[in-house]
Amino acid sequence: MSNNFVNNFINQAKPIIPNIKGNKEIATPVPSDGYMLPSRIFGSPKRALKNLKNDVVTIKKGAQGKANDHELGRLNDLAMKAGSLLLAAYLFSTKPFKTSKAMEFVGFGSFFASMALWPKLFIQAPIKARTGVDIHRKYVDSFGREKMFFQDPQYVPWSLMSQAEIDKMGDKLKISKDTPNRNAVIQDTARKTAVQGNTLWMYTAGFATPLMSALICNFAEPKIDGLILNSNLKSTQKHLENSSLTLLQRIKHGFELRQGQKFIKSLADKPLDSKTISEIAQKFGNDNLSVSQTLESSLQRLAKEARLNSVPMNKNNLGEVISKVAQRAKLPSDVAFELEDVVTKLGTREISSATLSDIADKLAGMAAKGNKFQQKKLTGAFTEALTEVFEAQRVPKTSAVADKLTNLSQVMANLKAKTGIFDRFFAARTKATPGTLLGKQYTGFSQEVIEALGLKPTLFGGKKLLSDDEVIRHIEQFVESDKFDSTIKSLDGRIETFHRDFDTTSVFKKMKETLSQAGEHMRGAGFGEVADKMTGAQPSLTRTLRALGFKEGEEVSRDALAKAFRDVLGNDQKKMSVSGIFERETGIQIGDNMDKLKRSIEDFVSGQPGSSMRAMRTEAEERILGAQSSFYRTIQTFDIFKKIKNGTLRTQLENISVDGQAARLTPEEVNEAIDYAKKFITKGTIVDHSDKARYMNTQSGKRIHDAVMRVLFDDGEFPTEIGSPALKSRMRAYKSEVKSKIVDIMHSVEAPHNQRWMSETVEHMQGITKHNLVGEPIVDSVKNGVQNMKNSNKWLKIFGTAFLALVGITLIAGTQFGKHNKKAEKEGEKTNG
Amino acid sequence: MIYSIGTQQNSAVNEKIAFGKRKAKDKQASLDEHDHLMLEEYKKHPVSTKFNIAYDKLTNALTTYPAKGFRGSVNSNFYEFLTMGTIPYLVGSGMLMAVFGLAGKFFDAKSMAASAKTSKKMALGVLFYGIAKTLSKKLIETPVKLKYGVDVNLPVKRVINEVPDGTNNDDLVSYEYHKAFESVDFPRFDLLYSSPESGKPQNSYYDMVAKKMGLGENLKDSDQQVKPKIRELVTKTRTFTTLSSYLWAASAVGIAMQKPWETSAVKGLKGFVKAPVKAVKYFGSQFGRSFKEFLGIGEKTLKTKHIAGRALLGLAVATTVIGNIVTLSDSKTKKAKKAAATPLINNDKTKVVC
Repeated sequence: MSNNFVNNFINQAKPIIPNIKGNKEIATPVPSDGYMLPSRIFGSPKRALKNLKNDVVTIKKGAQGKANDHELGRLNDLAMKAGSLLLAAYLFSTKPFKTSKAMEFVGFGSFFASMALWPKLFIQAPIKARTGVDIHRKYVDSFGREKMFFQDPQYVPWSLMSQAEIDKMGDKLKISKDTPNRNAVIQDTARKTAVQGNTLWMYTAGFATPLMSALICNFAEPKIDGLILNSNLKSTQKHLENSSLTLLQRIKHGFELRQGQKFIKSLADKPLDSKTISEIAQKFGNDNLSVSQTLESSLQRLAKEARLNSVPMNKNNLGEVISKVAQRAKLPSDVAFELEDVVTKLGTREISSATLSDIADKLAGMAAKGNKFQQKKLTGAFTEALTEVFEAQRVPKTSAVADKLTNLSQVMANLKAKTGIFDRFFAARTKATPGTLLGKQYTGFSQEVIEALGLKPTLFGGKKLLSDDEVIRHIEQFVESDKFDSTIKSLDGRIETFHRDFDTTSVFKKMKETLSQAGEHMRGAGFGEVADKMTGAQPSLTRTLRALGFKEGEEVSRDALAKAFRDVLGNDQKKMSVSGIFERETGIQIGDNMDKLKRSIEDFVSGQPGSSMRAMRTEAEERILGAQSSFYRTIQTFDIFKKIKNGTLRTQLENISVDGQAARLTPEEVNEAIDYAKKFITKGTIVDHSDKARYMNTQSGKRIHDAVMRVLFDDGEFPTEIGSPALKSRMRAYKSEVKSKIVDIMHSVEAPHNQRWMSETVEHMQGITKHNLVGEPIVDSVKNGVQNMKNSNKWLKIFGTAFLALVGITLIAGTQFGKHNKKAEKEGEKTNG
Repeated sequence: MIYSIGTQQNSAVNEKIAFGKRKAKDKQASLDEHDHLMLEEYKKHPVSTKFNIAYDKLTNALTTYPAKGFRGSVNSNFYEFLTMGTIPYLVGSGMLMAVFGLAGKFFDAKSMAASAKTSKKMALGVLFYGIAKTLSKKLIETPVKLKYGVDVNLPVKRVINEVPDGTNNDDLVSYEYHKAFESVDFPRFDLLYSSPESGKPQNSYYDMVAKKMGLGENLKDSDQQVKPKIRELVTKTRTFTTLSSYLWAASAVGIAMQKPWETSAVKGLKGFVKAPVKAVKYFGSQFGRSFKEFLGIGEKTLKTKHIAGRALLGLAVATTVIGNIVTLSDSKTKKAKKAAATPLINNDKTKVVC
């Protein structure tokens, strides 16, 4: 029976016809769906994106347990790139400056680019050019997966490559056309070449990738720096002109406004006592101690004004009063208890200063229960207690001044945001950070000087630092050379550009306007003192200073002030009077907080009365001054050396009248003066103690010193001889500033030990340092500049050479690949037929 | 779980076809002729086994494999290419430190001191990267091993019989170290059967895994039921270990880039030899401080970098946790589970084969 069943099945079964194409008698395998990808060094971006999309889908498949080996292998590459990108993003967040931030991503990109480019450019391409074998050729298999053709040398899908291509490879490999089994020979040679190439790749990639990546970053950094600087300059200019904020700043600003509102709301029910006031002052003081202090005083004034005139006489208040009295007047507890009861029946009334004594009398009467003597005693106690409670309760709640506080918080938040605009404006231009316009121009000037002096590092090796005498020698050579005039012209141009770029008139005007506006709003909100503080309307402190013992119009230095304070602090009466005067003059509550007083006065003396804009302006001014002074000083140096060269200085020194018109310098003194002038202008210091002793203490030395100071800084008598008229007039202004602010003073002040002459303490120069007025001496700027150039030059020489050596080795090694054993082929002819 | 050494079941190899000379160390000669699961040695001495395998790979990558590779030997295969892949990793790590630190004698002291800080951070970064990548994988693989008895790192020693390539015609046996589950398309299931000599049932491993996976005990064909599940499990484990390891490595490098590393308690190797305990203790404290700085622990206001650090570490932890959840849970619904557990053919009924 089962047999019948089976036979029926067999008879009814249809024959299976295989899918035969072409000749029906010969069965051929089904052609593959795989195909070769074109032989290119750089793949198509479209395909790369498609691969990326597939890789991301692989994550889902992998999580479901459905991915295959190929996909998991690709996932590894994707995860590596994603991990590196996240690391770059983290390191981006840690870096303070935009350029160093951007370089993190450049590093990431250059590393992966190097990993991909090294084999492509230095292994794959040369081998392909020489042998026709593309060792990293790609193909797509039947499942649509992109793979490397020669990845597994023991499984190379030659069936996918067309005969024409194989033949072409064979021609390039110089395998003769009549080689028996030519295809096999070509395939074997190609396989061999690929194995050799891949081995070379493994052995060189470790060296090449970090080197190449570091070199790419080294070249990219200055370019990125330039791009970022230009973009910063443009955007900060735009924001300044429009008084607009960046997106981030707007978000921050909105956040701060909301925070301010929240803060005020949270304090609504709290009493406006000194603790709360201090909290508010801290919060809205914009991190400025001076402003916070002034704010505190203003709030205390407001609190005083907002004090309640009357306070409800409720159970709580009275309970407090009764317990105070009970403690002090030793009321028996049953009396206290009864009193409470009675008082409750009294109901709620208002206590004001007028009714206070009445209520005290009444309560005392109730407690005394007719005892007149007791009543008198208790009246005092009740008055005292009531006054205490009354005063405490009079303190208004913060909600009473909530409107004013809201206005204040808004004004301060707006001011902070606006300050941010200026801050960023200056950050791109003058701040003492890397990547600013000032830094760039200063470096450019400095480098041109270094090149003109012939100090640009060209040689390798040695830690030998440039000596001062070497620099002077180079300057002397430079003033004699042909390029002197063209260099001066070029430097002149740089100075003009500098002045044009750093014309801060309009910016400072805008700062003043912004501050005034903020000040107006603040006055409107009832915070006039804070407005004055911030806008720099300085309170008159002459009376305070007089109280401290200074004379009218006298210049006050910090040291003198400190000394005066020490004296005052030792004297209690004097202490009280000074702080009292100060409070009256400024409205700022000091109490007996002498630190506060001292700080406030120091602020005034130093010229930075708490306005952050003022501090910003001063910083910018100083930086600009410092840079341009250094330029002028360099020009002055060249001018003096030129004069030395052509004898002008000698003539001037011989003719200059010294000792009050009475005498002239002796020839020896003239020679010494010339040397002294050289040393002075290039270094600005007295080299050692004996020099100091000579030029300050001896008659002859003083004469020389005076004469040299005059030829260096008296532009009326001894004008600058190099440069354009515009430059000469700038030099005149510079010299006269230095002369009036430093040189003239130096006569009356003894040179302190171990201090540079040109940077002696000049007490009355508030906020502007001597160094910035005079400028950096050429020896220092040149030495620093050369050292920096030397370092980067050296690094490039060392590692650039290493990279080139590696390229050389790789290319040479590559020439040994692709050779086929001709002898073996001939033998193969015998065995394989 | 106890199961015996699996040996290759391919009978053809049992006939001991010898190519060329045989090496003298023939104590394990019969075993050496077949691929074998290194179970005994891995169980008894896991650390030294891993070390020996790594040592073998490294020495070959430095000697034999490049020699074959540069010759273009026909025996140079994909395994050798992959093994040589450790070379650029090691050399590259050294180079990363060198581009900052080397050539020190050509620069002045101040510049060198500045670049030495970066060089030190690079060195630490490389070290932490390696450690984090290796250890983070354990966070997913160990729970899988404990729950299902499937160790994705089971080593396999493969015997490769090479062909004469003109240069080397004598020693034609080479050994490769793979993992039983390194391929999800072709895992070495054959090596997981118990041999008759061991005395255990042939499917003892699969029975154990089936029991742990909740498929039941005393199954007729536990291997057929368990194999696809193992594949799926290994795929999931590989996916999540790959993803999470790079995130942990990135976090570790981030920790290496913090400021506390700029100082050191001892100077160089000499200093370390003189005071190793001090050096180690200081290292520990530096790590603690760097970790805190990375995450901004104890800071009054959190800066962007602290938030970024927390996000990075958080992502790594989240990936590991998700990986554990996915690998340790069975994602199929109850109905699907029941359907999967029910064999298609009811073995209790009489079957007629026509």
